[in-house]
Amino acid sequence: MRWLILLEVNNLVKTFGELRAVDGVSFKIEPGQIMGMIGQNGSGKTTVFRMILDFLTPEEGGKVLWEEQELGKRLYDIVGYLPEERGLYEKLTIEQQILYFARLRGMNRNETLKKIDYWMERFAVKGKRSDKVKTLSKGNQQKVQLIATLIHEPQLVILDEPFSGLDPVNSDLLMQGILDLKSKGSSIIFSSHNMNNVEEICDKLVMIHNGKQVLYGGVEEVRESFGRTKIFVDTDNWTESDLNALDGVSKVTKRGEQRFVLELLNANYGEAIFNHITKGRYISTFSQQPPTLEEIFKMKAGEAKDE
Amino acid sequence: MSKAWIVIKEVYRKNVLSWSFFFMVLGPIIMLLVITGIGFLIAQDQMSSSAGTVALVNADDEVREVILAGDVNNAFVLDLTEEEAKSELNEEHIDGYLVIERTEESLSGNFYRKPTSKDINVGSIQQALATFHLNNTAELMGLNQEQLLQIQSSTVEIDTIILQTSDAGLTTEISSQDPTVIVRQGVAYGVSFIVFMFIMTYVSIISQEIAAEKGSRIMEIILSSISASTHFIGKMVGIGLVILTQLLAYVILFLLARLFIQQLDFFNFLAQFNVGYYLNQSGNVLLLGAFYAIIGILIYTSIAGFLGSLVSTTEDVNKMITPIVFTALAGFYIGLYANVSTNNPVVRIGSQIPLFTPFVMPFRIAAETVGSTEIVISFIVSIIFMVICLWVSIIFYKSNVLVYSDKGLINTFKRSFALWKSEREAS
Repeated sequence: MRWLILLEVNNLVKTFGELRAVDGVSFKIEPGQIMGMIGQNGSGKTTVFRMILDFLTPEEGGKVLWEEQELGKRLYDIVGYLPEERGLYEKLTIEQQILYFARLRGMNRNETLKKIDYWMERFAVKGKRSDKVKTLSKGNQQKVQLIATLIHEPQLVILDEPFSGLDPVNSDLLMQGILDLKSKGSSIIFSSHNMNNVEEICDKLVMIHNGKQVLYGGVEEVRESFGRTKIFVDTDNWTESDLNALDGVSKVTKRGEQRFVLELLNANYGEAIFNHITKGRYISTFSQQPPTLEEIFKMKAGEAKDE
Repeated sequence: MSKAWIVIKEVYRKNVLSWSFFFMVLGPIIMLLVITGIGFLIAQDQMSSSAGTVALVNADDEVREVILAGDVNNAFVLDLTEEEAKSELNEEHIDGYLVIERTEESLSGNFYRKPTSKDINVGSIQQALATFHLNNTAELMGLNQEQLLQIQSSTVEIDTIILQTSDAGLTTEISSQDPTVIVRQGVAYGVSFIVFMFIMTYVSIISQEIAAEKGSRIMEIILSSISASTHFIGKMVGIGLVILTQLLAYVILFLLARLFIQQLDFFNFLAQFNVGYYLNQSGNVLLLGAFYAIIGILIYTSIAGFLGSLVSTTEDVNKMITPIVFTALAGFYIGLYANVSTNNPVVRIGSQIPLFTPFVMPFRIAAETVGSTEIVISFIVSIIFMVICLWVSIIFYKSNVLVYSDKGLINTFKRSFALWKSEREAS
C-alpha cells in the first residue's frame, strides 16, 4: 500500500520544568518530500527531533505517527539520523564503523559489505576500507558519517544542521544523497540556518520560534503568503527620490547605478507602479517578488522578540 | 541476530582484539615475574654477601675448632693479631675479624667490619659458640647430659587456639600457628587483590566506553536504532565477557605454567610441604571469594556505567569516577586491616557493606571468624544492592546520556532526574 502521508507529527509539546521548550508543533510529510525546519539556536528544533526519534516522549497527548500508526520503536530500522555534533569511533576502520551502524539499523552483514565500496566511490572517500577513522582527514570523516547515515536507504531521514561544518564538496555530495533518497520516496527533514539550502531543495518548511510553530507550508506558499511586496527595478529614467515619491512605496534601496529595490506598503500597488515606471517603454528589469526566506525568518524572529 | 547481540559482539571485539587488552592480561604476570626476579636477585646477593673471609683473633684451639665445625660458609684466617687483622681489613684482604674474649665464666666476641664490607652472617658462629659455652658451663656445674637437656627445653610457649563451633554444635580447635590458617589468609589476600585489580580496570573501561559514545554524539545515532536499556545491557554483557576472557586467559596460563613446572620436579618439592592439602583447606575462601568477586565487579561496573553516562566529555571521566575508586581503595584497606584484626567492629560492619564486602569478607572467612548466617546475610545484601545498582543504572541511562552539563556530578544527575520524571509523567 502506498501511503499519502508517511510522517505526521501532531501537537508536539515538551516542557522542562517551567520552560515550554516545544509548544504545539504539527506537520505532515508525504513520501518523497523534503521539509526544512528553521529556527534560531535554542528555538526547540532539536527537541522536536528528539521526540520524533523517541528519545523524548511528547506531552499533552502529542503524537508522532508513521503510516498512520504511532512510530515508537518501529523507527529503529527506518530512520537515518545525523546529529548536529558528529563523532565516530576513532579506533575502528571505515568498514567496521559503517558495518556496526548498518547492522544496528537491521541491515545484513553481507549486504552491507557489498554496498560499502559503492558508497565510498560515490562519496569519493580517499582511503581504504581497512583505514582507521582517526587517520582520515576531517572531510573524509564527514563522508564516512554521511555513508553511515544513508547506506541503509532509510525511509525517514532526520538531519540536524547537516550542512554546518561541511566543505562545499561534501555539501554537494550530501545534497545529492538527499535528492536521491527523495526520488526513491524517502521523507526527509532537516534543520538549517542557511536559508539558501532550504529554498533550494525543500518542498515545505516549518519555522519554530521559542518552541512555537510560527510558519508552516510549501516554500513558495509561505513566501507568497507575505505578498509580493518587493520590486526589483533596473532603469535609467528614475532617481531614488522620484521612486520614493511614488504612491505605495515605503522604502527605496539603491543597489547600483540604475538598480533599485522598492518596498511596497501592499502588493496591490505593483501594477500601478509598473505602468508608472515603464510608461509603455522597455526597461531591462521589473520584477515583483515576495520576501526571501531569510527576510521572513528575520521578520518572524524580530516580531517574536518584540512581543 | 538481535541488536543486543550486535552491541555485545562489538564491545567484546573492540576490547579483546586490542593491544591494551593483551597488555592488561599480561601486565600483572609480567609484574609478578619482575618482582620475583628482583626478589631472587636480592636473595642471591644476600647469600653471596653474607659469607666471606673472617680472621679469628685471640681464639684458642678449642674455640677455633668449634667455630670451624659450626660455620662452613665463611673462610677463616687463624694466625693474625688484632693489629694485623685491622690492617688486613683496611686493605680489604679480609671482610671482618672476630675478637674472642674468653674467661672461666664467660665467652663473648666482637665482630669488626667496615661499613662498606660484606654483611657477614655471624649467626652460625654465635650458635656454635653458645652451644659450646653451655656445655662447658654445665660441665663446671657438674650437670649431666639429661639435666642439661631438661634446662634447654624449659622454655614457656603460649599458643593461641581458636575454638570453632559449627552450626551442628561441634567444636574444633585451630592453632594460630597452623599453616592452614596462613595459607587461607594468603588466598584471601589474593582474592581481595584480584577483585581490586579487576574493579579498577573495568570501572575505567566501561565508564570511558560510555562517555566516549556520549561525548561524540555517537550515542544519539545508537539510541535512534536500539533502545537505551538494550544498549546498556549489551555493553555490560560485552564487558562481562571480556572479564571472563581475561580470567580464562589466566586459567590457561596457569595450566601451561603448571605443565612447565611439573617438568622441573617443582611439584615434588612442594609436595613435601603438603601445599595441595592446605590449598584444599582454603577451597571455601576461594569459592565464596569468587562469588563475592563476581557480585562486587557487577556492582562497581554498574555504578561506573551510571557515572560514565553522566559525563559530557571523556576528559571528565576520571574526575567522575574518583569517588568509586576511593571507595574501592577504602574497602581494600579495610580488607588488609581485617587480615590482622578480624573481629574489629570496623571490619565486621565493613564486611556487610556491599561496596566493601568483596574485599573484607574473604579475610573473615579465611580467619573463620564469621558464621554462616553472616555470610548468607552478606550475600543477600550484596545481591539486593547489585540488583538496585543495575536497575538504577538502566532506568537512568537514557536520561543521563541525553543531558549535557559541565556543572558536576550532582547537578548533572539532578537534571537527568528531572528529565526522567517528566518522561515518566508524559508516557
